[in-house]
Amino acid sequence: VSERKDPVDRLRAANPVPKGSEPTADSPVAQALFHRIVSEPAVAERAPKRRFLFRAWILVPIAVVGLAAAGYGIYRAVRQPLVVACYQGPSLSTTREGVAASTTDALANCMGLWRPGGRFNARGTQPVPDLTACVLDDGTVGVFPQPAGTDTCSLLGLAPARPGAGGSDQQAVVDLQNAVADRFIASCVDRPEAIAFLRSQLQHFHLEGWRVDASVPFTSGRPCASAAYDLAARTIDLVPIPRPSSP
Amino acid sequence: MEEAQDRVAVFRQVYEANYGRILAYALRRYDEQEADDVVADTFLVAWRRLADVPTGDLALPWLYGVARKVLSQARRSRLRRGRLLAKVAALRGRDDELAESTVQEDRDLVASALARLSDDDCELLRLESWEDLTHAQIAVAFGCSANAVTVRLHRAHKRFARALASVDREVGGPEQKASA
Repeated sequence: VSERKDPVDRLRAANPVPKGSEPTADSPVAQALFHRIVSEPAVAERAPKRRFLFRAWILVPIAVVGLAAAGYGIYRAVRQPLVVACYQGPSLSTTREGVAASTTDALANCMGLWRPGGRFNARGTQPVPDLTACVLDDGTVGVFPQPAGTDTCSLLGLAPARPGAGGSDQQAVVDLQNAVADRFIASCVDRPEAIAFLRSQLQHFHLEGWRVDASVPFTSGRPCASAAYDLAARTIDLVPIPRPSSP
Repeated sequence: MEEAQDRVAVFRQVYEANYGRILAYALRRYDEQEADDVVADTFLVAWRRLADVPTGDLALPWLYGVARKVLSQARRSRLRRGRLLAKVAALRGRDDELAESTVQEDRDLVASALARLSDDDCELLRLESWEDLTHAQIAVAFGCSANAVTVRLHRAHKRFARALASVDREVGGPEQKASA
């Protein structure tokens, strides 16, 4: 005991994974994780001349998620889910992961987390469980494992999220976002052009009742358009952002 | 296509060279499930920011820096701290069991002392003592100068020594037994 009186020695000796006993990267778990990661898009890997694209990619989703979250607080019906909460267990207190809704099928949005190497199945040892979608208290969609013979939504006191609710509208909003992202990311779009484009897209996707809010002034320092979606107010806010830096 | 393959090859090199160290880093701080999450998140950031990953020996401290940010989510930190403090409380009523394993006893005492420090102090001490990083490497992980690391480590050591002495006094740890 006396030889370990020095705090530094005691700290070193308390190392829970002693040096030399570190895991290796050739285990099946490590390899599964590797393949899962390299199958992900390399979103931040851009050429210098396309810095604008990177900024836009960051700004648009942040604005979308932020406004969507705010909007859902008062808009309780699940019409246009852009974010889905995926739960690891049939409980509201288990690990939860928020994913951007890339499809209107809420279950499909969470499926990736359960595949081998996914966040909920890192070791690849368990099959993808049966999943069910419920409406959470804040109006968003939560996807939970559903053990055989149980009704997870009922057990949690939640209403089931019916896939058909607002289906066509949901898909239209997702399609609109994709179209807008493609256009605004491709180049610096000024205010008049952005308004015209958004109006034409709303018409194209038959999104009636939506409007474009361009009240935030564009300036010489922020001359390019980005978009944020306020689902509750059915409004697309034009957000001015700086011009891309020269390469 | 070739560019994509090159990218995967570069990432594989980074991944295989550092996976074990990053997983060990996470396992030293959290349970297995959380550690897996930390490793996955850390390497996903590396994959997405591959152009920013330094080459050679600096890749590892850069990854530690990412892992540290992943780990520093307040929820996890509070959870961990709660567990460690609970361990201290449990230690007080387990004298017989403590006698069975001096090594485990001291690990728990050290963990309890670390839990009394700030997250930054803890991390500096562990990067130096458990991950065996030099001050220059810690500086990469922390995003500050090596001189700043030296100063901060000096203070962290002092605070750790005080915290450990305090824990020893409370539970009758090795220092108390040695002087008894």
